[in-house]
Amino acid sequence: MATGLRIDDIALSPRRRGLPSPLDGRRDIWFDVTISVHNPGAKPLHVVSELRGLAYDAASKVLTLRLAEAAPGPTARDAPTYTLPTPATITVAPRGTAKITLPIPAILREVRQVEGAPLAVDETDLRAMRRIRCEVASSEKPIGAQERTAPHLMRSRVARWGITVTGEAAVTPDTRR
Amino acid sequence: MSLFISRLANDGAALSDVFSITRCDANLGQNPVNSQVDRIAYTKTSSGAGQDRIEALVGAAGDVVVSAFPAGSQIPDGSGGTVPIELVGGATFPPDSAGLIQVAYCFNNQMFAFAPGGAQISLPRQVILFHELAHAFHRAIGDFNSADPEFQAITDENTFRAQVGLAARDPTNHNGGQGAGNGQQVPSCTGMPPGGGTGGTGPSCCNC
Repeated sequence: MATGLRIDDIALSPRRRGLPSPLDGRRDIWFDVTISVHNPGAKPLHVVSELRGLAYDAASKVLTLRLAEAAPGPTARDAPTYTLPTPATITVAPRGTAKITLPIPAILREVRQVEGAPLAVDETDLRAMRRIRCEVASSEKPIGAQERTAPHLMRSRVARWGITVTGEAAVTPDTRR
Repeated sequence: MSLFISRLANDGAALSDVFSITRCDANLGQNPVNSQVDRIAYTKTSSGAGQDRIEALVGAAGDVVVSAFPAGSQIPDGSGGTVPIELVGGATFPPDSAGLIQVAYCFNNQMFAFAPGGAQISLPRQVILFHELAHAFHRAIGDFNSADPEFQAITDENTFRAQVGLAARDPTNHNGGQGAGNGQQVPSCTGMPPGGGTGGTGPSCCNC
């Protein structure tokens, strides 16, 4: 009998404008990705409900949304100092369903380090995507609070928490400007 | 030796937030260096944790570059991947080979942290920037606590929180998340920031 989380559907909304910037009134374009999940088991499942990572493969036009943590690679010498919060989760009742909605910008901004210069930004238009792949972690055990955990250690622990399921769907982004 | 604002990111947001940290001190100056950065000049006209820290950074033995990014931006996570900046609030990079310390922060997301006792409290954008500048400051002056950098930065952050009347944060709890805190925001101050930023992103005048 299947007891693990199941991804039933992945849907991409029409484009919407973000709230006006308080600085210049500019309104960026966003999409909402809604992931429908189902708990076929007899116990409640705790499901990660926030985006922990995003990657876009321009060659295959696949956008990957990670609501899970993978085991991190070794910490680089030039690793930044930051805090990584414990993943937000929702509880899906036995034989229940839930929808998780994630805002995704139309323009992906990837920041990279450049020696001797300010951080640079590479922009990619995500409206070229053709598929969305979602990875969602869940467990019968609550994820707990890990307030004294450094990012690398937290990621390692969360990567071992629960089971990650994957779903994929074809999408046709709204390309109106 | 200097505090810079990156023009490759949202310089208007960064300038506005530095200005707010100085509590709208009209003595804050902004001088173009090249197409990538502006240099901040500052001699405080009043004392406070915010003014003191910005003045110290301007005169510190290290170059710090501030970049303000919108939610949805992905920053290097130090382990070969990236992390959404709205998830972490901000990040400070150690000095590169040229000695530049990079500060990146998210200027348009709602975030929360925790007070001693566990109550959820607001983490406004100016506080996030002050927190990251605390990491940068300690790296610049050579007393960065690599064993517990968050305790050091949150302790500094609390001096700014006290100055502007925000609830103190628990320095032993650096968890938090996206969403509302306790409704507190950095109180507005009024003044005219230098230059107003570039690229149509900067305020021509402001209530920060």
